[in-house]
Amino acid sequence: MNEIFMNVGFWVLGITAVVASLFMVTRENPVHSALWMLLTFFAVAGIFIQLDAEYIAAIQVMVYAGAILVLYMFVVMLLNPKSTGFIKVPAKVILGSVVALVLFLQIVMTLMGTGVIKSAQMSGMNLPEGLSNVKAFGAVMFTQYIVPFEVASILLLVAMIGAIVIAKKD
Amino acid sequence: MLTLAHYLVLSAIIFSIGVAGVLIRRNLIVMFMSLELMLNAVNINLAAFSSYLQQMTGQIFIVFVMAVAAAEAAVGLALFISLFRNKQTINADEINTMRG
Amino acid sequence: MIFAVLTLLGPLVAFLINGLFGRRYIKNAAPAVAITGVGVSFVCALILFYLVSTQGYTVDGTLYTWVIAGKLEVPFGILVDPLSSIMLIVVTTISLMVHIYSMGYMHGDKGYWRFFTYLSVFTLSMLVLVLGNNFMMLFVGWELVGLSSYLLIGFWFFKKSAADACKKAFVMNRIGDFGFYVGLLLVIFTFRSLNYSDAFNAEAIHHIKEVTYTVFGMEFSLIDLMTFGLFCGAMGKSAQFPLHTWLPDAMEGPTPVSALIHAATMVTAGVYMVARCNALFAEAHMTSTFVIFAGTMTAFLGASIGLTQYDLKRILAYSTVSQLGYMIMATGVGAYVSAIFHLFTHAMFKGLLFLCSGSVMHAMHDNLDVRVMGGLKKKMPVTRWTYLIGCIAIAGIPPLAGFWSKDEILAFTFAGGHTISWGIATAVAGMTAFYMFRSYFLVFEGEPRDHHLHDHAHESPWTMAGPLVFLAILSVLVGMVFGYPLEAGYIHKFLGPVLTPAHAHEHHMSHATAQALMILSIVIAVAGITVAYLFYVKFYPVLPEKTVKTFKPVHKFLLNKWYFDELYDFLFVHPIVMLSNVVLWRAIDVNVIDFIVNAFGRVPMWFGGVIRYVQTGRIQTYIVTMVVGVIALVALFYTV
Repeated sequence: MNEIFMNVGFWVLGITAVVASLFMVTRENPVHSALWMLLTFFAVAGIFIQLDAEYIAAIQVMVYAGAILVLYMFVVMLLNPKSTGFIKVPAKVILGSVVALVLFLQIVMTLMGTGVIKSAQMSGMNLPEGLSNVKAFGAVMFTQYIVPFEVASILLLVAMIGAIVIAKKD
Repeated sequence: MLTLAHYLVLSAIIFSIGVAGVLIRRNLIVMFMSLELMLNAVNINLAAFSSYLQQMTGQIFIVFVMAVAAAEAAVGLALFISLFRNKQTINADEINTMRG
Repeated sequence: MIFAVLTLLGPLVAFLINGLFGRRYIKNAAPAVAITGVGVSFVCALILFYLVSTQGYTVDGTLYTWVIAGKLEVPFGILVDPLSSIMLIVVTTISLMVHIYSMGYMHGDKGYWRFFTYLSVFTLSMLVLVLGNNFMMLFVGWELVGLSSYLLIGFWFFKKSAADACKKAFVMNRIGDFGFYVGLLLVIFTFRSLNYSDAFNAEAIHHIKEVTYTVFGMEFSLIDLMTFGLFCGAMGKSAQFPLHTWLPDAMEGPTPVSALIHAATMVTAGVYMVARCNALFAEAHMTSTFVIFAGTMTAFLGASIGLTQYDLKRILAYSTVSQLGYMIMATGVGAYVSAIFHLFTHAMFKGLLFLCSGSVMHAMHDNLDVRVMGGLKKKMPVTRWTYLIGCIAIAGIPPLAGFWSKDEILAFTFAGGHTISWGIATAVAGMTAFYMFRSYFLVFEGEPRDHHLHDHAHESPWTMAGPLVFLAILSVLVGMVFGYPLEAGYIHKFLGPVLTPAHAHEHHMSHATAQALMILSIVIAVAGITVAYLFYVKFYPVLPEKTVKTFKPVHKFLLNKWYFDELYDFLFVHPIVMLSNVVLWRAIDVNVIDFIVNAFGRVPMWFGGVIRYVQTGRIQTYIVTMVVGVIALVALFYTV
């Protein structure tokens, strides 16, 4: 039962993510692109839940869908550039698609070449009794990775200051 | 049956779509969104391996990737605003001041 | 050891302080620093001399190993023995006096601090030269004194004559130094070491005594070649014929420099070197013959030119050339002790004479022509008396210093059987007495010839007069103290152990011969003085003019310094200038070198012109390139 549920979930979420991202890339209007991206983010959040990463799924929704995407929307609205025309240079589109396809095939071939991954069963996280995902995550993050965590905070601070300085009107 | 390969292939598809987006779009903002898409694909990878290897580290790294993505989005979008203010365009093809 | 190191450290520290902080912070206090530095050296030199003379104290030690190249080890070593201790006395005494004198002489000059910095460098390098215990340190000191001489001759570099003179001195020294390098290489090659103790080892010399080489179809012994190379260096540094022409031109430098470097110390480095290598030179019979020839020739050349010059400093310069010829001749005949003794006394009285000439120059507003001077004895009593003492000393009238050393050289030359050299040298002694007193009579005696200059003349300040008096006292005393009795004085007892080669053949003269020689040299000196008196006081200016008229070609030949400068210009300078101008510049430099240099610019520009089209300035082109690169890399390394 659970297994069927997992399978169905994976396919639904995966196809949603792929289709949404395809639409995102191909929409002429940036606002539409942003909305399709929102859908992709939600689908990816669902996949995170499937992979026993509830906390990540939560911040995926909050940070990506809530913060970053809103930031994009703001900029798009703010600049409101006139339409740049979508497919003016077909050669470029063909070239880009071909390169991306080759890259994809190469990745897949590389994956297929390594035997372990093909048959690796996803059994889900086996957390110790009474330890939820968030607790386990916090335990690792604030012990082993405390220094990178602090560095990341400094990075965000710097980015904030930098963004203000750059975007400031002189 | 779901295997690790399912997730990895999904991630590869989304990553390639992101690459295609960066390569074919002319609007800098959409190019940037495609970049975020690629980062998301990587995150799926990390989460899949974290689950498979029973290791929390993968998820920790997703958080760091997100932090970097957020920082990058903030700075990048600020750059676009500044650029638009000076050039009245965010069309990638029209910005070629560095041509040799 | 500690005193020897301190001797070096004094000028070194003074040089560093003045050199680094002189321009900004020390300025007119520079002499205090420099004099303190050289004062330390002077005191240490006195202590070392005392230790060496009373207790037979010697040092041959290594401060640290300087060069390690394969099996060759060159230490930064210090050697204190009677020879170096007496050289230390000469160098530090004259240097100290010149430092004090310069305080007055250079006062008000723009480069006051610079001058004292250079003086400290010079003192340091001379001490390194003297104190080293191996050929490498000798060589380093040798080049450093050449450098400081260059800097000090060209001290007033804005004067073209001074700039030319310093270049000339440097180039002439290079010619000699080329021989010196060859000699040094032969020393390394032969002894596998640069230490004096290895090279002057009787056993080692005995081994190589019979080795011969064929050069240009003639057979030479190894020792001859080696010493000839080394002697070439001495010819350059000590201004021996035919490389003597730089020394008179070096008088363009400030007068204290002429006194210190170009009379008393640096130019005697060649004599010191030959004396130091006496063990080698004693075995080199062919070179010794050449040394005697060069010395005699130089002595005669210098004296003959000195007879006719009108520039006071040039007279002294040619006198120096002549006296250096004496010393070199003495080393050639094997009278090393006498050579060093003459070096010692000469340093005192020639330093004195130069400083006097500086004093006169000061009084006469930098005018040096002896024809416009005259009658200065009333105006400048101190300078006059000290100059007179210097003249008597150099002329060789007992009991002043010059007599003792010069007479010894003449006696040893005669005893060694070199009668021609002896005859020339004796004649030169007479000429020396003549031209020195000529300069004295023209400058100080008689009537003033330029009243304007004469009225403004004045005695120099005590900073200048003090050293004059001190050196005059030394000029009177040192000969007697060290030289009495002749040929067996204290100096022989002191220097004998280091300067008498193991199996030198002793020449013995009968007592009567020695006395006859002594009386002869006194008579000749007195005769020279008398002739000078007749020419330049009694029958001036009738007699000199008549003589010039009678011997017009000879006078012109001498006045133009035997046309050496013109000869060298014709033989070497003009051909090289022509060659450089036509071939090296217009042909090779313009067409080859410039072409290569331009090509270095043009080729990258051409490539850049081609490759610039890759830089479209469009971000997506770059990204495509990058992704294709990633694909290629993955294909290379990961695709199964």
